[in-house]
Amino acid sequence: MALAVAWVLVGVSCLHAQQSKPTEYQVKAAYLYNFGRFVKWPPGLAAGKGDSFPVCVLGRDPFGSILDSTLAGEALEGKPVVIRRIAKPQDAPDCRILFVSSTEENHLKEILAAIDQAGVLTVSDIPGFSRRGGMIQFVVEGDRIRFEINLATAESAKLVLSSELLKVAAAVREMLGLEIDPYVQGSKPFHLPETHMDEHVGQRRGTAVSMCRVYCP
Amino acid sequence: MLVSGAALLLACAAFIALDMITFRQAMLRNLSTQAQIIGSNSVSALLFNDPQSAENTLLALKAAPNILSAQV
Repeated sequence: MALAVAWVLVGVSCLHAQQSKPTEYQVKAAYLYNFGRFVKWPPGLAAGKGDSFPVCVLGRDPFGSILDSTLAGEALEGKPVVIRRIAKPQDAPDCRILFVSSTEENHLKEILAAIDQAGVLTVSDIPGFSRRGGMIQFVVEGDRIRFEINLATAESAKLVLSSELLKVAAAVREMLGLEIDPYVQGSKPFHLPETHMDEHVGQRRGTAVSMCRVYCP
Repeated sequence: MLVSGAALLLACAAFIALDMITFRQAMLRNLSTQAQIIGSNSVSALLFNDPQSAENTLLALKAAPNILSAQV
């Protein structure tokens, strides 16, 4: 019908405009802030009572001054971001985003127990973090920094992760280790076959349904 | 004969002009809507440097016949 030639340019990317490659922790610091834009915290949290948005680093700080310079002047949930370096897991429930340093790998269990249900978004680059009860784990893929999400732990802390965040995740996990890779699934909506759904009852079935809620149109 | 012929021609020209204008407006509106949708769905792909996710979003434009190319 139309012989029209239409060019749609969606924004102008800065991907190619980067002069020098940012370092690993510059990227991770930026991601830490970006996570905050795609997560909704439940209202009425203890951590939400203050008039700032605390982003904490537990253990030896791998960011150095990068975190301060990246997050300087930024705001999340309408509150100015403040950075705290904490040493004890007991201080963690007051944070909104908690980065667990790799020096704390051996104390992971008690850290996660200390912030249980406190509505803290836990982020780390400890290997296997997302399988061990953490919410977001950085992974390095080639020269890119990506991340894995454990949706079940985030949901149990009443955090709502945007589907926009889930679609760029390298993997989205549920508690039982049933994994989906959005790219393997392609653009097809994620459906377990009917028979498959019926074979599994209880928790497993619940898992399939809750994932469908995220990926199905 | 001459008068009625001229009138017919004039009417034809008016209809063609009207059609072209409304078609143009409709196309413009459609394309801005599509660009808006693609744009808001590409935010996270840009923020988290995920070309594959951006590509998936752009692939949706395959369904639009008068879009030849799209890029982020």
